[in-house]
Amino acid sequence: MAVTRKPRVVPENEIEALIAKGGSVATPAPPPPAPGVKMVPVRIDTTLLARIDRAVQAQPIKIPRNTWVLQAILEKLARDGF
Amino acid sequence: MIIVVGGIKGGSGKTTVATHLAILCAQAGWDVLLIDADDQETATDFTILRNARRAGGAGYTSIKLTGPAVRTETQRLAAKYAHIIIDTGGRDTTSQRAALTVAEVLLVPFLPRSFDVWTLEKAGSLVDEMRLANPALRAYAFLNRTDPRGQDNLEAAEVLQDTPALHFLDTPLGARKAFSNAAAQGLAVTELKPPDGKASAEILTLFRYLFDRNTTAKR
Repeated sequence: MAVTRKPRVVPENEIEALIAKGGSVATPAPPPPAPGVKMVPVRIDTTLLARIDRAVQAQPIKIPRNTWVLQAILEKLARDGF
Repeated sequence: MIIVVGGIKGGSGKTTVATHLAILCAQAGWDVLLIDADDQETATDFTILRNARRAGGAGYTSIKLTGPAVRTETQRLAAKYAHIIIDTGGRDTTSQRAALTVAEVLLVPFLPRSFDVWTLEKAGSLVDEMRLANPALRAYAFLNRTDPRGQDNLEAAEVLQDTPALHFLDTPLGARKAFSNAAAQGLAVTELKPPDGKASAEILTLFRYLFDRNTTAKR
């Protein structure tokens, strides 16, 4: 054969795109965070803070504001399925 | 030669075939690298067992790779080994695609069962797609764990000849206990004592088909 088609060099980005079409490979779940307590500063509107404080005061048993906020967070996490 | 043992159906015996090819290459005197690109990592577990059971070690080198690294690392290591065998999982993953961009041969085992041969079309589509990046890729289908009797083997063989993307190899491996007995000891069936003549003959036929025709021996 005297005449052949010009050889085609496949660009690397086309090869990468072909590879990426494959399904992902299973990877191990990230390790759970180490147990402990971390301080997280939270920006909060003063009006909202006043409402929270009124709710804390309205509790039949006196609890710290921090505990009330944690309870609220846990309720939302449970409600949202986390 | 770079051989991928792949496909898109799990449980078809890919790891058994890949590990046997690696062992037979090593016994033939070639430097061989077995790449475990299957997230189940069974080939790696087999190699750990084989290294522990044999005084001389596995006889081949084994590494684990996933994703696009299968392409880049295989390209980097190709010059150091006479042959590279890549065991991929039974899914269309980035690992398998990356392997197919650099492979010379894709070997796809099929069980003689409907659910298995029904995946032939998808396997053929994958081969066609990967040939855009690797036009020289040769793809072979063959029957694994064939029945000792009955029509299913013949019927499955007929189906496997339906797609032009994969060439059907008439080199079946039977459903023989010798393969699982050997695997449990970190051995190939050719190394069992007492030997299983039929299982050994079958795997050697497949091995010779692949390597006698396709290799320029680099021992």
